[in-house]
Amino acid sequence: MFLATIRFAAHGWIEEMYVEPQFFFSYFGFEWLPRPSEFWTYVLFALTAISALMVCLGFRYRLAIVVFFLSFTYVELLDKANYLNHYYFISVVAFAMIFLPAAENFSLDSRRKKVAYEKAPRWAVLMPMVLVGIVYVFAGLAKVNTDWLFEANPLTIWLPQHVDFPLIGQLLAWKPTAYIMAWGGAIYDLTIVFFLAYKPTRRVAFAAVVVFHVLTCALFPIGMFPFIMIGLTTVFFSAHLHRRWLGRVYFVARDTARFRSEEIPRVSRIAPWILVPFLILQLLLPFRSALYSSDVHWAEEGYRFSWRVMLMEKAGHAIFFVKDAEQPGELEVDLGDHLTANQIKQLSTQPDMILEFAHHLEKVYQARAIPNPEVRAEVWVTLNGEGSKLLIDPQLDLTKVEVSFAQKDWVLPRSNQSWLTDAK
Amino acid sequence: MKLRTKIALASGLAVALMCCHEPDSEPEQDTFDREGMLTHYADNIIVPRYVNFENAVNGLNWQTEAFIADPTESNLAAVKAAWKASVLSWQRCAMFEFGPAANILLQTSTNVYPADTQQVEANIMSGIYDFDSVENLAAKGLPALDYLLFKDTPESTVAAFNAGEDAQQRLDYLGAVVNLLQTQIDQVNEAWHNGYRDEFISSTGTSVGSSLGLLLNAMNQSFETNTRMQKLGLPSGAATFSMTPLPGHVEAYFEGQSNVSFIEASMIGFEDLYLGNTESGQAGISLGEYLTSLQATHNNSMLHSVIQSQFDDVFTSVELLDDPLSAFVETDQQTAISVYVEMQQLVVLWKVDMMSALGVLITYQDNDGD
Repeated sequence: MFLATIRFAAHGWIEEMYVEPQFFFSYFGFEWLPRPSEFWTYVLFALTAISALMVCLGFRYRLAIVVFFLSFTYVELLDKANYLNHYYFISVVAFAMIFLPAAENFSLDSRRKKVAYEKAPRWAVLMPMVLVGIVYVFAGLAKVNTDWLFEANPLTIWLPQHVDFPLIGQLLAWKPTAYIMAWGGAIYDLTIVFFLAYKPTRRVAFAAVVVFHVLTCALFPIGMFPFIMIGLTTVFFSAHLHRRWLGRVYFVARDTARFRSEEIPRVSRIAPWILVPFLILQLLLPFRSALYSSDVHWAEEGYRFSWRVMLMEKAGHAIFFVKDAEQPGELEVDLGDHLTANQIKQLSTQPDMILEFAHHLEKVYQARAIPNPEVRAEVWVTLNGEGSKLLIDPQLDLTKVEVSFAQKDWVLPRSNQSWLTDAK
Repeated sequence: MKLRTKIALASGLAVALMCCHEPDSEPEQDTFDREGMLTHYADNIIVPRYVNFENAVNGLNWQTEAFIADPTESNLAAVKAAWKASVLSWQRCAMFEFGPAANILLQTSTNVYPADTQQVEANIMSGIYDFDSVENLAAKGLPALDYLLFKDTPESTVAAFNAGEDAQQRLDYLGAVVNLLQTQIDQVNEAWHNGYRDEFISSTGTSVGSSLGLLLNAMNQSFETNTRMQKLGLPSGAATFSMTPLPGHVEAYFEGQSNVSFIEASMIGFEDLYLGNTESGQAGISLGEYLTSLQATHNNSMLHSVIQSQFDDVFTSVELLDDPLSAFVETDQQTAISVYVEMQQLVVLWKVDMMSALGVLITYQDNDGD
């Protein structure tokens, strides 16, 4: 995560995603979160980077992991437009790690405290494996849908774009490849955790993990995620193996060897009270979309926090109109005046963000002396190669719609027939 | 077990070595040749269009110098003709605002309208002006010439340049505006001839910084903003609170006779680009073909044919327009708005369907596939 944060900063994304935007899409329930000034934003990122490094070295671990969790999660909660499944995953793991005795051996803390525990509580060792398992299994379940399995979408769209990939490029453009990779991906996601957990298959499973993630890294622009997953998968290996590897590589290991203790480190008593509900939440949250009758890929109700990763090809174009009741026409809003390119891209396919932005426009125009602005949006979306059509009711005044978790009946059904060519 | 592990790890490593590697393109005969398309676009479309525009501006420059030396009505007529040729030629270049053009803001120095006529007059009177400063944003380029050349009758115009107040300064300003046009296009042309063309062709991916990404994002931006909104949207009052037309926002407002020709030229410029047509009218490998090879569809039809048919619809609606557009938007606002609506639909097909099918990204950030 230390490297990830440095990379983020080096790309200039702090500036682009957190300093530049005039408006943030707040998460439901977190609207009160104060937005840090430019200076404090950089401080926040510096804190994240430094605490990540400290966690890695095992230096003042408990403090470091809490600071990391809070600073990282704070940043992520600022703007929905920046939601990525792997950022959510890092928050989840960081939270769990607060309660794990993760720096009791091979760490600078061990050297300082002069104690290096050789054993850990069984549940603490299992916890990271369970979290990784949750991601994979739910990601696999997410792939069990007609688009993915029977149409091989979006792979049939994405793979042919890589026809000039070395060696296998031609293969990627071949239609059956998409089906093979779609089914293979789903099966991999659903079963890999079990192959990793089962000792005889562990090594081959790990090799498969490496191949899978490296391939996705090469084909898709998903940043650090593959490497984070590869790194995290090492939690499945036995303590014996870890001891061997770390012992070879990590200089501190030599130092801490003399403090070896066979006891089990004490863990905070409140840990189970927090981690058990946390785990239950993690198991239930991905099923949120089942509470809505809409197509989760289209209306995206319950889409976030459900490990739906690289699951669909969706693009959109949203045109917002503001109407002043006292004048005959409508103003077409130039989104670039209010939002960054990334925010516009995210907004164009996600109804909850569309609604939030409509309310924001209402406030903007009220400040410009229009007492009762009405805001509507024509949002054209293509999902998995279907022709572009309307996502929401284009005539509805969104300012009258409340932001809530209730089902959005103003989102048109995926099967709606508002194809562009008919809309004349 | 061990051998299998080794093989698995070895293949994993092999794939790892290719990770994030800039792919060579050695395409087979039967798959789409992206590099070929970029080459065709660079060599047979973009560069020739810039060359043509440079030639037109050269002609304009030459005629302007003749006029400055001897301000007569016939010389004025020659400048006007050269101006019109330049505007027509520019319509075919406006969509390439990336690379060298973006670096020097070619669009800004060539075609920002409506012209800030007050600023133009102030510049003439003071004789001091810096074209880079923000106050002169709309006091230069082809629209400034439109104002200077066409705002009065030919007799009055010649008189103003000959014997009117600040006549000499007026001539100087005319020359300075044309000179700026010249230096800007020369710079862009030179960049393309000295290295950028190769750079453009070699970047064959679909990420944001790739050539396809640059080209398509520029094309979309230009079509949506310069053509749809500026040529039709604002003048027709389509997307404003009051719904009142803004005749003063028409391109070539003062000339008033070629407004529709310029709109048509712009549309043809976009269509030729999309179809890969060269300046001499020959077809070539194109975006349309690329979409077809990817089997991109739109509601059970091929996306390519849906786009082509939308182009036809735009052209049909443009035929209903009349010069001067500034008057037309007031007398027949609905027809003007209908052109805007047809253009809007093409925007959606390009920005949503086409970009999605081609996998061209709009931003640099990491992606979750959403």
